[in-house]
Amino acid sequence: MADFLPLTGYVPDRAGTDAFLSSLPRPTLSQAGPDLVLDEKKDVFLGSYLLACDPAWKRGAQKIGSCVGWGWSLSVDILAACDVHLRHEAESYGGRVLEASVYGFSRVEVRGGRNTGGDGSYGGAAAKAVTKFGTLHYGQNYNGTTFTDNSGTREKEWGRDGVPDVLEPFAAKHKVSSVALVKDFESAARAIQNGYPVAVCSMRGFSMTLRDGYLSPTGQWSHCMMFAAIRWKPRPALLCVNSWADCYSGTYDLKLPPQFQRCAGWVEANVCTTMLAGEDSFALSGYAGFPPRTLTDWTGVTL
Amino acid sequence: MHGAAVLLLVAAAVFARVPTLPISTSQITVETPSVEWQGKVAGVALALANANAVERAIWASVWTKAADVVIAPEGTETIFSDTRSLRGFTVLSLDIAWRRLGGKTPGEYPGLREAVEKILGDSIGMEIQVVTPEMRRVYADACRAIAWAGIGRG
Repeated sequence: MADFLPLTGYVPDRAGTDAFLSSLPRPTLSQAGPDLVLDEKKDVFLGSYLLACDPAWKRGAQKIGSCVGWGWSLSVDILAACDVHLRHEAESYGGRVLEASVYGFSRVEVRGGRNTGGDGSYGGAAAKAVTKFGTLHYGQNYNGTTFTDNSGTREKEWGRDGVPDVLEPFAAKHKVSSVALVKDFESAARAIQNGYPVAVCSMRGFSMTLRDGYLSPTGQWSHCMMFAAIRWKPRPALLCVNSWADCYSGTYDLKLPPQFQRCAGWVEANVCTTMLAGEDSFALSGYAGFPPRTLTDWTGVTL
Repeated sequence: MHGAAVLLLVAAAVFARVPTLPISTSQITVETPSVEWQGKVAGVALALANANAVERAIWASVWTKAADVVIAPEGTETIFSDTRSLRGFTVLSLDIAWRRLGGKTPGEYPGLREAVEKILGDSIGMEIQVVTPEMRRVYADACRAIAWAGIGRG
């Protein structure tokens, strides 16, 4: 098994999430997407769209208790990739979301002041962060500042003091337009089948040993991860992507691309429902991505 | 830089025989494209209407071999990752075969650049995106049709 730090960082705030939900005109998926159809034979893996945008993608590992930033950032990345390759929206993929931006916004700007408490955040705060404040990205030039590597120090600082004010206008250009509360397996499956990833916050823990790609529930993790795929056989399950790099051992699902085989595992439907029953997990839709990037020409100055 | 160097080597290897000119058009085997493609490349045939046999041979050769290179399976290292690498290969191939070895100057055949740009722009698009197997197939079809048009058909 690869070295990893089993850091978590989900700190539930029922009142905070309820306050956010009360601000939504259609807070649940059934209300926000009543026409979304569930096909109980259709397997969908949204990670393929992410890999189409970023073939070199590899899951990293959180360095502090910033799992909410990680789970939500990957959800946004996959949403952006689905916008490009599934929905064929006229935009381009702008790189990975900077986890520190979601984490910092969720802890400070969303709450309205510095946060000197310990690490951690919650789903409702991240939902408000990405919809109201937006996201920053690796590799983008922000008036001379470019983020290239994940930094636990940066996450710690931004989680305490917030995202620097000079960066907020850049983040505001790339918001998630809507989120909807997902409360059970069927709703999550419906969202994923339609190209909407689900960020999941729960107290459910798992064994670190995969069995034919499936995760076995055991213990307790106060953790945020994300659901990126749905499969129906051999047992209905959602693919839960962690933020501990290639952390799992055991027997992997070799049908998954290698980048997902050891950083994620299938969670059976009934366990998914218990995870989602905490009512702090959301499906994401509608990302304000980057303008299409185009070639200047095909032949240069040759003809 | 590494990718560009690989492309340069590939292109150099592909066109290594060009200095043995003159060659006749009878040495170049060009597939006849579909009727649809024949229509799309009419502008190339028109632009090259006054080209001589050697120029037509170079033209057909570079585009035919460009198609062969792109449609060939990738090796352990992906060369044509996104459309920028495909464009880079196209420019490099033309620059080596048409301009440097063939001695042709840009603009020598009015309308040629515009005709080729339209064909590739319409068939592949201008968006920077991942090169898919389908895109490689379309690129190869376009190249072969362009070669066919230049050799005096169309």
